[in-house]
Amino acid sequence: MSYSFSHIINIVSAAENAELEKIQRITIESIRRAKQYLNSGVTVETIAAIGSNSSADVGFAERTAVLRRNVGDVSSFSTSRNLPIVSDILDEGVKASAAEYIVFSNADIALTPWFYNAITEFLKRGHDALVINRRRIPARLIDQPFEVMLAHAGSEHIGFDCFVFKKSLHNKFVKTNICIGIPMAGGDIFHNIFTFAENPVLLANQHLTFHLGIDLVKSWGNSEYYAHNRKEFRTLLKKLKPHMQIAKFPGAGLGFFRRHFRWLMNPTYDYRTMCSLDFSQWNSHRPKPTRKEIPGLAHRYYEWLQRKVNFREED
Amino acid sequence: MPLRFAHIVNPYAIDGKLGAVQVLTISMLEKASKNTRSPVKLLSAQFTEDRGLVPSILELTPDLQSNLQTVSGNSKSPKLPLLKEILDRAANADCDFVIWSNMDIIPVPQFYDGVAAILESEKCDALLINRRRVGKELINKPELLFNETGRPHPGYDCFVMKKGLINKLSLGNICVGAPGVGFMLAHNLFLHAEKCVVLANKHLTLHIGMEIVQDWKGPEVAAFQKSEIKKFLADERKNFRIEKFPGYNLPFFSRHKKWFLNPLFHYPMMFAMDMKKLFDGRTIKKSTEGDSNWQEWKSTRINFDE
Repeated sequence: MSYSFSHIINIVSAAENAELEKIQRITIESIRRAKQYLNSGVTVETIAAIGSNSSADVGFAERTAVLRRNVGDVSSFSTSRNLPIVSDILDEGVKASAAEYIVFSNADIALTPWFYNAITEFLKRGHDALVINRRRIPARLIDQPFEVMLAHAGSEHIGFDCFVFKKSLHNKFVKTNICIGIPMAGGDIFHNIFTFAENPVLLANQHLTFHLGIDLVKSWGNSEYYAHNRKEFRTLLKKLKPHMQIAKFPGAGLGFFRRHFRWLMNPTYDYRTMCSLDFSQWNSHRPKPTRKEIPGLAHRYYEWLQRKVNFREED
Repeated sequence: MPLRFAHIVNPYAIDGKLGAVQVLTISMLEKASKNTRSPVKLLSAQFTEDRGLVPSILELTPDLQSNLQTVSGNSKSPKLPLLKEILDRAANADCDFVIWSNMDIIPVPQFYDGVAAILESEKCDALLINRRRVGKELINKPELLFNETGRPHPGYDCFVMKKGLINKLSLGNICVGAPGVGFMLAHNLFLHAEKCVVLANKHLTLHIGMEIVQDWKGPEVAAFQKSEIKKFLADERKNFRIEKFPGYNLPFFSRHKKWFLNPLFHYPMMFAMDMKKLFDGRTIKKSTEGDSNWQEWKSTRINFDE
């Protein structure tokens, strides 16, 4: 059985964002390496999504998707930034795609060489959509060889910035005017996936993507753009809610306090929506959480201890 | 010019066979050795009776002659190989660096390129690599093995050293496959290498099974290993330099907590060495590999596992 992927990536030129462009070069190199590592039966085409006035170098991509508008065309802001709209990137990318599956990741998210082979294995297991958490590695590695960055196991991150889904799902997605580069970007794809996919999975502990920079939270953009994205996100949730099944969302099978704590603390989730869904679908069948390989207090103590006694690279 | 490696392992029979874990390790060594710019020689150090089990991808070296039974004089002891004999088999290999790892330590496909890049970037002559622990179910799903981030482990079980260091090591009769072997080789490298770097958070080697602490081989073997370590520390204690140990540049309480709690360090020795050089003008660095404590704590609590 063969699997084909169109990997959509929204890239910028150095004139648009010099800092991102530097990191983006690492991302592009990582995609090139991952494409060299494909198992037989796996094919990948890269689609560069760029603004109509962008001078970004798209030489690495097989196809180009040109974005005809940006967030400034749908809403007015006191400071103008040509930020693309996430739904437009997906719409144009999907139009240009000749593959069965779509991969969308941010320009600062690099891939491990086994990325495409690994996502193929998860799809073979019956999933039609995957959401992948990145690993954070120190920003000081930016000037190191790619192998050094790849060797770093990094730390976990709670944000969603890499998505894989069956192309046919895209027709069902509710479109928004959420723009990229501002909080809530990605939250729209996440909620569309977990609403419309049959068997989505969140891969929270995989070394499939990495990001230079160890920060967990940083202030993106300005409050005006944030307010715009929040408003769009709330509208999206209202439209999605009648279709949402709590059992498909991450954490649905956990104990009551554990799942509510996670939904409450994780900024990707709108807690009111999750809470109301959880109660209205109280009797729905939930997946059972996987059992720990080594249960018991002693092992939990050793896990705590190993965190305390392990040295870090720079120690 | 890429660095050349000789990677020596010690395959052994379990009920007349190599067993699933060793077979997987060897196949992944082969995969990694074909997936690198560096020339890699895969070597086997084996007992005579295990010679026939060694797959052809591993180059046979002369059979091991000694074992725990012969050196301890106790015929009831398990037949464990001596680390010194294993490493001696690689001492004349045509390579720049020798790697020794246990038979249950699985390299990722980019292992050798990763190690070569780190050796060059750190400008060091030895590396200690902590493994990552992954779930037992992955033994039947090798296609998902490498993307699994796993969890860290404090033990040292993969060692990279400049070939010339092998002849300087004082390993006594320490045995492989019993507690203490990691301590002995790590301390030898802290002693003899110009710069030995501990890689505690790398995705380079994996171990199937989430256990952190395990009972190995019983109290007699543990006592034997302990006596070898005691002899080694008594002979070499005066030659150690605290600045070559990991943690040297950490704040006082932070480094002492790690040395005290980590069984791979002999705390009385570390304490004494550190006190002698307490005011040596070292640069104190706080670890920066993380966001604020609150954000890090929160991220571990609110993330969903698959």
